Amino acid sequence: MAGRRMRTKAEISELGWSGIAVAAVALSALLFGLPTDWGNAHTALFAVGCMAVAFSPRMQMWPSWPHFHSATLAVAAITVGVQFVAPFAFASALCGTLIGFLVIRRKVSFIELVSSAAGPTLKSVLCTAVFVLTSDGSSTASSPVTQSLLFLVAWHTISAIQNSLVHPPVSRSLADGRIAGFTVSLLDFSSNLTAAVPLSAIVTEQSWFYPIYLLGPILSIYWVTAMEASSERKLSEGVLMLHRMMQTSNPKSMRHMKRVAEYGRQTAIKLGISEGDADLVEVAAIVHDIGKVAVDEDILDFPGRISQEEMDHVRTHAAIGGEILGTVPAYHHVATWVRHHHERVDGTGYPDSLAGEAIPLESRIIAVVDAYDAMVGGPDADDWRSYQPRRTTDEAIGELWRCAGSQFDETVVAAFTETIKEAKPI
Amino acid sequence: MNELVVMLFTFGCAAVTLAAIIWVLLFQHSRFEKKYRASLATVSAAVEARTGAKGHSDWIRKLSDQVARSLKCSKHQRKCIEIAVYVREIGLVTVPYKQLRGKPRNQWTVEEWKVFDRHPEVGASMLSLVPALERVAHVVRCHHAPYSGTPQSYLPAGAELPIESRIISTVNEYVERYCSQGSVLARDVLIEQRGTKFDPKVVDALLSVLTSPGVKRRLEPTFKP
Repeated sequence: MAGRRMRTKAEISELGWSGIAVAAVALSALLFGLPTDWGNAHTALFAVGCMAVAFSPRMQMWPSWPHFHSATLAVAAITVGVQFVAPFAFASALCGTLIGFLVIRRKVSFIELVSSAAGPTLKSVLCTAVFVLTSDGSSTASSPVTQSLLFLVAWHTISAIQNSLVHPPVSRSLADGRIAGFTVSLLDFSSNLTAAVPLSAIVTEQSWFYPIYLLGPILSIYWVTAMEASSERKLSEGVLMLHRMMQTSNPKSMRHMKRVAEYGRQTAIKLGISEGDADLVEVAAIVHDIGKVAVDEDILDFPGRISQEEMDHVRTHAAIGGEILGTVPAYHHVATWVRHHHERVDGTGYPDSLAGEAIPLESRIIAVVDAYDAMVGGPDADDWRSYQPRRTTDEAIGELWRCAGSQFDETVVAAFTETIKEAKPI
Repeated sequence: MNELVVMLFTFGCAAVTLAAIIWVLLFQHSRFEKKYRASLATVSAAVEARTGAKGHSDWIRKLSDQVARSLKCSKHQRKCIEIAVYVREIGLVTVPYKQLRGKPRNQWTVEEWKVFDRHPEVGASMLSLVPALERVAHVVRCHHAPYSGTPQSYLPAGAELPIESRIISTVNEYVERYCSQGSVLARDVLIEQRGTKFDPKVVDALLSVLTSPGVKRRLEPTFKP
């Protein structure tokens, strides 16, 4: 499955990071020698405290998602790494990861352990380097505020680079069971802040306990966001189950869903719909034919004309789909879009015979993308519809334009044509 | 002045933290949980649209929750039951539509019953792709397994069956019989198969739930059988 492939890719890039981190550790040990001065006891105590606080919510949040543990460890690593003792930062991150995996009772390979500790170590070492460089020698950045800002900038830049490598520009398709990208970045941001605050507390020494108080609100806000995100992910689990149901009952429709979801998302963004709502359009596109579980498969796959009665039976799928999704309050928009995805702009569609602007924009998008994919299909022969011949991309777009104004919305068709021209074949 | 600012700052931070934690613990946590379980209700809605048994899952969920309470199941087990009730019939998507809707069950051939009897296994294999639903998948796999076991079955029997499956299978049978044959015959079937197909403890608990006056009113079916 796609999920499996992604993980392997991420593992490989994490392996790369661990290599770099080990090199960095070796280099720092070579340049600075092993640490002789551990600073005060506060530092060590503080590190332990941060770890405890940061671990408790996370462990419950992602019992099956080791990726995020590495971000947590940054908190521990940074507090020790502040003294530029990279080996110790690495060791603490390693211990933290081990504890983390023990807590979630999951077996862990050595490579996994090292690589998930290496990311935060590298981050903390690099950021500390920025810190040390700006506080010593240079006279331009002397105030703690400037230092903290510089640190934050460095931290976020490195995280961004790291995230884009470790989580490769995720297709973010719900079909692969991933959560919305925005929520991830929000989570990352708050965890980064959590790490930054104790650091500035330690370095600005004279009033290092003030920022600790800030840690409370920040952590709790982070916690709330984390819960929201996990519930979001779990919501998408419901969609995933529906998706799997359809896949089992009708394997042919699976790849069709994937393409419709991707094109639907891109077209929605073209039409000025925000990222968050485009995610919902993607959900709607994945499940738009869920009503077909209540339709006879033999009629759906019948290669030829079907009677009026059978046609009416097939047509119930739009209303049934809306009904199914309507059971979840969080999806009541999606339910409306799914219900109307067979309406026509001239008002002769079903189930409610809406016309023009009365049809939700999202339904019009799904209608266009669905029709296009029904005509063109995927690269494999068994993707093609049994009741009509396959057409080329140009023919299909010509057909869409021919029906624009009667069956489809013209602006949507225009946006979709652009999307198709830019898109790679899926 | 400076000290006052520091004090206000400190207390402000502490207040925000406490408020957020209390807010989450008291109000949000259960809301998130409910949202999640509600999302799985779409699955039961989809299956019911296929089988035509609208509203059954909801009633089964209510009844089995009461049974689980009276059997002193843990909160965790009750949640598992709720999810399993929603997704238990997901394997029915592999049963042809004509068979499910076109024919009454007493006219099915042996072949058709074989296809139908595979649905717990199919459902479980679909669910086991989601790591968080591992336990639920096992419960779904066993949700039609007889309590006394069958010689050729690879499923566990007796006390080795998960308690969740035992409850669901009993309540499921009752609700289906209730809809096709009425409440009296449904109870008779439970009593008849007490100890063979169903766990005697669960049957007793269900019968007492059904006859206890306080519970009865709330557990009326929400649909016309």
